[in-house]
Amino acid sequence: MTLTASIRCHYLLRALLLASLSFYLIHLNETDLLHYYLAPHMQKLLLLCPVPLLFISFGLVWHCITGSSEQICDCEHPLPESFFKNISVYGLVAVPLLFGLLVPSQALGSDMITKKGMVYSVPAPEIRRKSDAMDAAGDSQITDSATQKNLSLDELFIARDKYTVEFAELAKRLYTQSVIEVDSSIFSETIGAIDMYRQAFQGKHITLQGFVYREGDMKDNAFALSRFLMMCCPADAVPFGVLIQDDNALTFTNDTWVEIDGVVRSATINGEEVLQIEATQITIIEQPVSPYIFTNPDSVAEFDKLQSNS
Amino acid sequence: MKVSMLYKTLPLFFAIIFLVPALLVVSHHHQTSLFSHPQLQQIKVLFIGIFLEALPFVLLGVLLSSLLQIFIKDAWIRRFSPKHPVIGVLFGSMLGFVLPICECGMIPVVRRLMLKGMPVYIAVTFILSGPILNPVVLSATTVAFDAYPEVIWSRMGLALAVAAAIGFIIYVRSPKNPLKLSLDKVQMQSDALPFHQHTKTWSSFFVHAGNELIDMSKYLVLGAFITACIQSFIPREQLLALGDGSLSSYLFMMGFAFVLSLCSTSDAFVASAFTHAFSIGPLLSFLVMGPMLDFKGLLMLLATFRIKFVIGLCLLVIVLVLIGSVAIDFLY
Repeated sequence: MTLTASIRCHYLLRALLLASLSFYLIHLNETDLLHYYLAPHMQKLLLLCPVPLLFISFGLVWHCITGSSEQICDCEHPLPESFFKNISVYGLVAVPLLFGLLVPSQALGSDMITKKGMVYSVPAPEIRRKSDAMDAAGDSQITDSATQKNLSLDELFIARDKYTVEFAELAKRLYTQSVIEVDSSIFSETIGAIDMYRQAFQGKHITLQGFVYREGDMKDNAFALSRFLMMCCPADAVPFGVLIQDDNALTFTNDTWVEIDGVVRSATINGEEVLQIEATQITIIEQPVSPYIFTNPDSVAEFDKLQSNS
Repeated sequence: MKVSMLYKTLPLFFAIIFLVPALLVVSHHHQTSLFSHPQLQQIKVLFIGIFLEALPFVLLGVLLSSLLQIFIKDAWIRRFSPKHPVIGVLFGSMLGFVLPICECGMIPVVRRLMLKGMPVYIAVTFILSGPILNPVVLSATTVAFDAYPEVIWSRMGLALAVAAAIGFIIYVRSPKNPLKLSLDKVQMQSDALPFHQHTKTWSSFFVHAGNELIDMSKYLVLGAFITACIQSFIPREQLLALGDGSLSSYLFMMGFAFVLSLCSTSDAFVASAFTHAFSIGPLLSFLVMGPMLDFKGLLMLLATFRIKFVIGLCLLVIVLVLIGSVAIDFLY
């Protein structure tokens, strides 16, 4: 066995690792498990990878079989020399594969919420608001208008600033529904719109899905219906929750997926008024294929599309 | 020497090959076994998520670097690299707009450019500014901080200032051979073997890409894994409690950026969740520090540069980002 033969072995091993990585990606996609790891726009990017990876590993194998001994060298990429280095290099690259195959895939759940901390107001668009003064003005306006039931939609849902125009538009559409069905594709926007105009939406019927999460200091008749809102990958996922009130709340354990039929109310957490849903019926459901929710670039258009389909 | 080592190693790989199916079977029979422990599953989701998020960008960087290796002649890089330091630094910091790659794809490309003769100070300026000063990150930041244009421009400005300052410092100090695999070594080897020429074929393109991918991904894996562990073991509330004081909030946000190792295209959204808790200064330190220096990137830097150089670079980045963001906070 010569030095080139040893290098040939290294190349073969590398080709094997890269090929298995690309098969792992294909497997993830085939079994619909990519939803657990990436947001849709990142999934598209990732799916560009398997083909170049296979080309690379094929190139390595080709080179290792047909390359003459002068061509095969390690001058630019020194190969690991010692036993320990061999293990650490190839072992490390194999770790994602081993993890992927051995540990069952499961979406983020209650455990992660306790680490990240639950958010009860819409994370993305809410925080873009300029100043608190504007908020106060907006709130009082809504309370006034909500008392006068026969106001037109345009007067009822006035955008506070240019960043909440989308929410106001969505709220106008949601308000005309007899039962508001919260679709996963525009979950955070729908809840955001209802939360922003929660006085106007009081008493409206609503249906939504999520998993159960209970914080330490919650009352016995309450839990939070949660979804993880993901920007790119689980590292930036934010747990997003809606407060649910139900007398049988204790019978549902953490991480159970449920569908809630209920009525929009409001409650106070830590001195702040938040949206609360008074449940009329809770049904246990299967975990959806895509457990996380994502921000939608144009929630109003998405809502119109959903309406025209149904 | 090498050959005997390989003989010793081979049986171990066989052992692993048999161990994997065995473990697979066992774990399928016992759903409640070690592998389905919730904490472990959490780490897995985060770890695979971060790894898969970075993979397309690393692959892009590696392919780009292979293209550079094969199609760009060394003389071109030498000719096009500006001679004057001021122009060189500006050139380095604006290169991101031409080559919009984020921090994961950056390092293979820069290493290739340096081996082809790009001066160290321009290359380092590019490493630091590239992940922030590029159209993709600019648009992501604009979306996340729509209502705070000052954050967008301060982020870009501070990144430019810090990268340029470090570029000048490196130009003045001119460290010798900051690369692990130095130019001299490559030169020496090709001198020793005068007929040793790599043929530039499609197969050498893929071989090059494959080797570089393995080189980079071991550090990516380690970085992603440690990041996943930190995120799933340390509650965010405990971290937030650290950031109460004025100076400590800067240090906290910088440490937070380092630990989270987010992609520079998504970190603006995470930062925007902190607008109610922090003023512009600490937010900026998060937004500028993260893309320049984080856990994942640090390991990848160590794959390329000498340890002494990396330590110096880290200290410079930390100090300059801190000073810069405190100064901007003072202005607003």
